[in-house]
Amino acid sequence: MADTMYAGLSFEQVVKAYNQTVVSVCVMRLKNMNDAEDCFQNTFVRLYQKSPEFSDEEHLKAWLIRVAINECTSYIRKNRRTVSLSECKEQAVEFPHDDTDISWALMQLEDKYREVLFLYYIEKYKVNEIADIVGRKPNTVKTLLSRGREKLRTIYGGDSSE
Amino acid sequence: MNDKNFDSLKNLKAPEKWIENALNIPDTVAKKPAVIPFRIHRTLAYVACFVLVCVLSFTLFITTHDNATPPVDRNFPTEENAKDESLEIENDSKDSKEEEKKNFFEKVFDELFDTDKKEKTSNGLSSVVEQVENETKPKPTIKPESTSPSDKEEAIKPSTNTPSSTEPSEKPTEKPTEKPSDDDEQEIPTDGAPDTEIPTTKPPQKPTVPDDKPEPSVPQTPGDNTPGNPGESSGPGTNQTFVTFTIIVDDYYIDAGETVLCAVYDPNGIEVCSYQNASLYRSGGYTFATFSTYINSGAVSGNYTCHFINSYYHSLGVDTQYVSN
Repeated sequence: MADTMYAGLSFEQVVKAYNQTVVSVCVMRLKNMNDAEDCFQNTFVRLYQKSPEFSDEEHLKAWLIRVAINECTSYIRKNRRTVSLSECKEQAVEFPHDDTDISWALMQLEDKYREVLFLYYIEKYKVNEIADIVGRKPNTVKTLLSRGREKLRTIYGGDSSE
Repeated sequence: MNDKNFDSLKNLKAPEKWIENALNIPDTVAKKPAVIPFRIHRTLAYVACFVLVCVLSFTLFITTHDNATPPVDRNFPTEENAKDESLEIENDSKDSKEEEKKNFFEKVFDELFDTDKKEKTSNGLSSVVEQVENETKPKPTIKPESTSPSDKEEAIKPSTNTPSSTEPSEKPTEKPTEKPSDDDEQEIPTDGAPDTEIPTTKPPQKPTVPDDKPEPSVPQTPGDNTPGNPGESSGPGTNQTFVTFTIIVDDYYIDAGETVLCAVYDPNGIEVCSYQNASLYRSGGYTFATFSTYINSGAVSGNYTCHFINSYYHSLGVDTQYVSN
């Protein structure tokens, strides 16, 4: 194993601690488990190869999310291919329609809204932190959050007051 | 949205296979070696370009400023440097030579025009021939008063050297105080000396020497007295000196026909020999133009000049030989 430490954690500890976060980001972005696997592996390969220095675990987590988003973006860019609908249905991640768990509604939003809402509601980041991770201005992030909420509400059919 | 959640997405777990593969990354993926960042590459490239430009500029400055001669070669004298220096000297001498040729060309051109107008050269040549003929005649020193045969023999004294043994024992007591003029010399006295031989151009024989056989009339050339010039020698004719003029010719000025003309001038600037063909020969990488002629040196002694020109009247060079009486 590698001797390099990442914010006080070994590579194995980092994988075990943050694999769920990376998988969530990849699936949220790609909506496909096979593609998400590639990006998942590439994210940790990048961590191992680059071995950057992290101030704390939050920094490490933010770095992993950022790298995972970039890997997914580059993966989509590189693998623009046409697939059959049946193949797409087989590989797509299915979330159950539930009144409380609205993950299925989130997956139907556009990428830019889905990304911001995921970081805000699931990863519990603040607007400024999301702005740093996504590389946008805080006001832009606020706008995206507001519009994303409205779209999401429209999708799952909730009240605007909620 | 307070009662809503995203638990299914949040609690999404990676398969065990993914985690195993991720844990095996350090064993399968080699760590990238520490490479120099691109900015360092860029900085090195900038520095290299700057150094290259400086070196090229300096080299260009040296080559243009110092006439393409590297300073190292100047510091260490070698055979090549010696050759270069000799070439520079040749170039300098070439410039002066060209100026000399130019002046000579103008001089020759003027003389040619003067010759056409005044027929200066032909007159000069004829006067030289007359002068030489007069001088080749032995000057008789005839005393007008002497009547005896011995006196006559003494009187008929050629200008050439006569052995002392041939002199008679009786010497005349009276010597003429005044030398006769040229006109007087030509007047031959016939009154008191009917048997006196008329002096001719032939040198007198030696009648007083009993054992002396009559020698052929070999003329004594005055060229014997001339200093030992290399291109000068005694000619077969009377009072004629064989003179050879030689110059080194630049091949650039020789036309396809390789015609080189030359003219010889006496010390007074009179043309002795009009333009004639000179012979060319090559030796040691140089081309020599040579012209040999007989000069009646009895006329004028001094430096005789031979001007070599090509068929376009371009001066090729001048050679001078000293000819004395």
